Amino acid sequence: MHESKVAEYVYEIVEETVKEDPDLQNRKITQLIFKLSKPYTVYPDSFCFYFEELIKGTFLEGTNLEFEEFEEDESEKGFFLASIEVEDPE
Amino acid sequence: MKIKVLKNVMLKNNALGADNRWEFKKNSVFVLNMTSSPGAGKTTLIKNSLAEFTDKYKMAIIEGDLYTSRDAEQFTDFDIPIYQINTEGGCHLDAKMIHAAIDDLDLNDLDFILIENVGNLVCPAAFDLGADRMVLVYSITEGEDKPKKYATMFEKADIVVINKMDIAPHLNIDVDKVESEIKEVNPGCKVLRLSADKPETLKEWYEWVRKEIESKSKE
Repeated sequence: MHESKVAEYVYEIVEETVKEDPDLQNRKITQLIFKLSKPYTVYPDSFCFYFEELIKGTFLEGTNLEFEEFEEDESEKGFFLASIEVEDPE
Repeated sequence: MKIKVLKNVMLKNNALGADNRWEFKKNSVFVLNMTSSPGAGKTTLIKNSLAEFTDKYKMAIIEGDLYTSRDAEQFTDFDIPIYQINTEGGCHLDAKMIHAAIDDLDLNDLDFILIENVGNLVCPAAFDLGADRMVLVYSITEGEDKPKKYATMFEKADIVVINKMDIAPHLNIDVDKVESEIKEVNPGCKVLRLSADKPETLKEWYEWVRKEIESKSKE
């Protein structure tokens, strides 16, 4: 249930990242890719439920959400926004 | 086109948690984050801890509750600051809420703060509040199997207090098995057995708290 708060954090991070990166500006974001480690503190199904509700009517509406697990030899632990995919320039 | 970000989402909370920790350290205040399922006995343990410690340390309570101030009302006999947080349905406290509490409390005039988190055996694990130690109060009536089912909470806890031991003989439950499951999930975790409403069973708990406060004040 805390995923509703986590959804807000992700929205803020995407907004901040777009602001800082000219490559992301004025381009449609098509996909957000998350990486997470076990044991999960954020559950993808629950996160998607809240996030999809949150982004209705915003610049992120319709964005696809993908989840990958960190490999065992990767040092990161937790729930990360790994990358943002945008439409290629025409 | 794919743009790499690799940002830890929980840093949104945990960076603020680190700020809180720094504020507590600067003012030499020891802080416990008290967590558990609803009804496991946090409030009773806190109430008896206040009776034990308010004449020794300058204390305050940060009280998390979904909607009510029922728990905080149980502490009004003690002449200490009580900061009430109502999460309005939210299932956990986060670092921002504690940050607001810090602004309201005079940390310079405190030695020891107890934070009573929202009763929940999942969500509070994800949110660093900046407390020195996380306490998990576990009622023996919750069964033998929960440490592995709710592993994240047990993994994050510094101490698990197995509560309501006075009724354990009436239950079909193996307390040693509960304790070994906890140790499997979190080998470094301290485990105590007590009955929060029986002050005579709380000596080890008080001793642990006292040592923790003293080791912090020496830092």
